[in-house]
Amino acid sequence: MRSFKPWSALASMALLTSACGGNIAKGVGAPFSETCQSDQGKSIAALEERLRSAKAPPAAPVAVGVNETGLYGVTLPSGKRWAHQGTADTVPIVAGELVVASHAGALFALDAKSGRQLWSVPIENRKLRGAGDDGNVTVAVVAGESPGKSRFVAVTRTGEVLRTIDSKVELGFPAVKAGIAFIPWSSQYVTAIDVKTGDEVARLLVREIVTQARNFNGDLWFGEKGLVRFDDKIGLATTNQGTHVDLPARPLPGKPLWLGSGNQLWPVGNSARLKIRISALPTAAGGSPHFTNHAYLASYFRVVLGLSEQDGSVRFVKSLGGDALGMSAAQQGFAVCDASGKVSLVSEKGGDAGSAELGARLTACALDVSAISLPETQAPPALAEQIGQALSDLTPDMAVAQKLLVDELTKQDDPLVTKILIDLTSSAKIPPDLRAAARKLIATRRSGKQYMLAALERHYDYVSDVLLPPPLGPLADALAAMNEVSATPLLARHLNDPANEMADVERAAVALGKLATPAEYEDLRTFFALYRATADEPSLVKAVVAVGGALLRIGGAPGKTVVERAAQDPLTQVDVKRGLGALLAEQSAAPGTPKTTNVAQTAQRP
Amino acid sequence: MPVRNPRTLIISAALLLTASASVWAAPPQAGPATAAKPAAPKSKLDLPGLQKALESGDAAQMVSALDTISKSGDPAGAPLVEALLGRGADATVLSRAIETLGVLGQPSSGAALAPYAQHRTPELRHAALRALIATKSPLAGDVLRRALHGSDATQRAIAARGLGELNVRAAVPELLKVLPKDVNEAAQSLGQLCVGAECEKFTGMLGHLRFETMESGMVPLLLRPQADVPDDVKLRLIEKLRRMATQPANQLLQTALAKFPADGSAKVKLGLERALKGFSVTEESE
Repeated sequence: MRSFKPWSALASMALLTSACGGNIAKGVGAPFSETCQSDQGKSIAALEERLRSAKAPPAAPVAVGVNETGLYGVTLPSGKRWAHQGTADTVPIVAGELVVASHAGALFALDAKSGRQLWSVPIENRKLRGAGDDGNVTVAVVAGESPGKSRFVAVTRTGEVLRTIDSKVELGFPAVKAGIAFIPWSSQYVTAIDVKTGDEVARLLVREIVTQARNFNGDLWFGEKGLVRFDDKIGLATTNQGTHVDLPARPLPGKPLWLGSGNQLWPVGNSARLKIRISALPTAAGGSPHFTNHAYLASYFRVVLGLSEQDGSVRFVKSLGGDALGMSAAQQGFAVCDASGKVSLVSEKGGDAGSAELGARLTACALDVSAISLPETQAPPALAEQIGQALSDLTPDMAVAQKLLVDELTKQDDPLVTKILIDLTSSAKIPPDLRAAARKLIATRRSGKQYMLAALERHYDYVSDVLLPPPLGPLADALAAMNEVSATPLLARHLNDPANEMADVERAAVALGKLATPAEYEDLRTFFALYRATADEPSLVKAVVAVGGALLRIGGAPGKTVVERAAQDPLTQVDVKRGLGALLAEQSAAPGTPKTTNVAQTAQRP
Repeated sequence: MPVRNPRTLIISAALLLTASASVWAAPPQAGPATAAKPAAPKSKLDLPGLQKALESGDAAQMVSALDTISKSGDPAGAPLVEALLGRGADATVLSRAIETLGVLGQPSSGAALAPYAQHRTPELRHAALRALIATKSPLAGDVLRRALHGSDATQRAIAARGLGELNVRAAVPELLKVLPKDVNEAAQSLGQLCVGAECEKFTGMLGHLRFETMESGMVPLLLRPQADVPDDVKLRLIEKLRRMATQPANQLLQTALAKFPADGSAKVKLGLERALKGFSVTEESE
């Protein structure tokens, strides 16, 4: 059994040749042995110190799309396009100046700027899992569909395979810097291997899941859900004191992953997994670790959310022409590649920053803009408007995202929110649950009066294809709570429209009980006459009684006569009669102040 | 093309109704149509007795009074029934009252019937629309047009048919819009009402809509005077029907020829005859 010798300052030079008992890593499993004892971060710290002055090259700003016939690239933000015949079996990876992909048992690299193929090497039915590049050497982990077939390869620019290590333990997404490859394994370790000698020169034990070694704009980070930076504190990572970043926990539709497990393949195909992702770019610029833009992106099919790194609150919403297949955060701004082949460049505030076309419909896309900034060319509309647009773009099967957006919408103070909610209740694309939620929220609105009144102008209209009446009940509740007397003629007109749901009519009647003016007397009188004896359901009974109350309040002597006679008429529906009797009793007990149903009593209904 | 929404006029009708009955016990006032009428001949009906019965609150008495008025056919009973509708009653009494106004057929009853065309109970709604058509009230056209916009298919069908019966030309754009939306009754009315380009648009739907949908409007259109529907529109329609070469289309041509007016266009008549013999409607188009 090999033992992992404790390191001393003097021994640091020795790490070049020995990180785990001085054994040279060759053949199956040699460098990925769990029998070594932890060196408390000494070897990785010494390696970091040695490599500190070397900078891993950042990724070329490029988007690469895949479909069944080819790979399509476009440089960003300039928009120079290229195409490569032949497809990829897993999502390609932008590694430095290269695009690395696999297909039909071969690993190949293309020049990211031109699409020219640089090399291709056989990988025996394995597929690309992860790759990195240091400007001279490309490292990759390839794997089979079944576990235990991980292989690390290091390839020069000329296509010479410098190193091949097959491993029975799962190897994660690798990185490389100055000829030293960093390979996560067993979800716990990162092993540093000199690709020329094959020596394991350092090992890092991380106290969280580590399946990813990533080069973000020249800095290496290790981890999966959270990342620890390869910097002067890396030696402390074993005790959770390294430079660490992670994203705030918050529920998101589809439960998207940021990097996901580096131990798995990301096959090209129509999987939802590719369309529900998170993208964030960690940085230590300014001293403390954070994410560029102080924000990150989350995709859910055709909708992308910009979220605050602090609390996950929504900063912007972008709807796309196709499902989001790839995203990347820039130093400033973001880029999103969708299934239509469009790459949308987004400013850090969610405004437009240009776009590029890949020129083909896609089934997968990889892109990297981590090295560049994307200045805003057009400011975004108000967040409420962005959410409204996204809601109208979502299809009915995306209820989770719709609910999230509606929840976000209601946090906005913008009167436009009222309009968006009203539009939601009128959209056939919105599932019933969400429509009910939107109706409930309308009742709580206290701004956007103009939108409420405009909605009440609308009636069901078969000829003009207006096949959903406005949300009369919730609007009535809100307008009554706002004491909006200007709404009364519109509400009164809706009373006598049979296309409205009875429960809505009841709420309109209750609102009119509070708001009606003498100008609405005739509408109210008509409603009362039509239904005082034909009310056949509780809502209609309540509506008639509420209108009776309004007639008493605004109708003067004629109104009182109408109600009194109805209260005496044997034909008047029995519950209506009882309600009218109570109203009249109240009025005679306190003349001039007839009670009406409290609008707040109906405010919680959809 | 924007369609004029007749809601305002209907509401005005309702206002007329309610204004006339704004106080429960007040006798209903006659609408504008009756206001200008000369004094009616003395009624044989016991109007005070009937009024008492209709205000009794006893459904049996009320129904009986309504039957009496209905059987008499005496227009003098109409104001009593209109007042009853203004006050409201249960569904049975209302139904009988609406039916009675239909029987009496007084244009003045339109204002009382109009609000019931929007009642939440479909049967009352349908009955009110039918009664309105029977009264030929000046309000009926707008009420029927409004009903065409409603959510109830039966209501739309009654309205579409009634608009043709009442010769409501203003409804043609709406009828053209609802015809492709499963309101087959619009076809017959369009055949009766369309002129010029409207008829071209209507006949242009033949081939796009099912023959059964269009069928009821074809014969009325072919029998209309040339001033309303130009001969060339009719001839194109006849040729279209001939080329369909189906039994129902052929039957339709036969019906049109059988009913063709003596003073109708000779060209159209010849076209029908030629089409029935299998020839093109005009020699030139052969």
